[in-house]
Amino acid sequence: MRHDEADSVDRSLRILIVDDQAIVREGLAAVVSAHGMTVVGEAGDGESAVAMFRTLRPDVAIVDLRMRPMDGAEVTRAIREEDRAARVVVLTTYDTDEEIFLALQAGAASYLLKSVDSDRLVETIRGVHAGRKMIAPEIASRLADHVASAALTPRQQEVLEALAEGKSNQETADALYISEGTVKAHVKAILAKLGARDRTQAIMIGVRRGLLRRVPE
Amino acid sequence: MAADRPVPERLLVVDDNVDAADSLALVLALGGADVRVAYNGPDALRVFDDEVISVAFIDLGMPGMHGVEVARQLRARDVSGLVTLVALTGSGEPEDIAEALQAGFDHHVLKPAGVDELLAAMRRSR
Repeated sequence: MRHDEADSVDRSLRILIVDDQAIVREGLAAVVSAHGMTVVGEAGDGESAVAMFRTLRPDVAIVDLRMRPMDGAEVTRAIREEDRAARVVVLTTYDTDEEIFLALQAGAASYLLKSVDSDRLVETIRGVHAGRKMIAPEIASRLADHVASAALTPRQQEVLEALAEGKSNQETADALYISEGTVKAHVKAILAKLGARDRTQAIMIGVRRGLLRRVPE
Repeated sequence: MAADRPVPERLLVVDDNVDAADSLALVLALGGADVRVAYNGPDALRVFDDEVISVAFIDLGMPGMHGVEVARQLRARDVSGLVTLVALTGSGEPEDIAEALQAGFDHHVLKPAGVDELLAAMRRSR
């Protein structure tokens, strides 16, 4: 692509910036504007962000992860529910595996740390707009490790589903034709893999991660 | 901002408010700087001992080691005499600013600071 063509493409890119810190919104706006993109909206909280997305339909939304009361993963999920093709870049200082996992699962196309420089930011926006997932190799590698270590075995999945149905250990054992002791061992392994402190939290995490199809009644 | 990018240099942001510190660091990094962050005074001193810092932005109202004390100690360790210290003040009271300048700060910026104000404080040091 010739340089003038790239400029023309960038000029048509419409960006929504979502961050609760005014200075970050200002800094991001300066960078994307300097690269010929158009900032169509700036939101300081999650609810405003979703409303702005609905009205403005930006090409790419840059969303801070840590906001209250609606965090960046929730904003991402809400935006993607508005439009399954919405492109979201999540931006954060925090890089715990769980946060990366939740942001990407919510539908973010990229996860950038706040140590990002302007060239990388612009490259990411362009790539995401082109429909690519832009995940840094080091994050992709950690994500793969996280998924592998946290994946439930088919039997553990069955036990988790039984927990979500409200079955006791004995009822689960009877349903799966295994001993109650084996069920307890599976429950212990499930709690460890999901990082849950008890059954209730395991079910909540299971729902959030899509391991369980719906919130149990 | 990006079009007016400063020469890459190493900056230090010191603030106990993690979100504020990280946000300021992001903006400075987007401007082309190499940025370090410390969330308290003792950590700031450690970073300063290990790295060559050209400008430090220091929040005054930190618990534990106050920003003024951080500035005094950084100034005492700055054997080259080249570091620029910028105080981030919440009140803007004349006596606070006077105390900051007396402690060794070169400039002060009222929080919440805008990008232009911060870059201007950096440029005034050159």
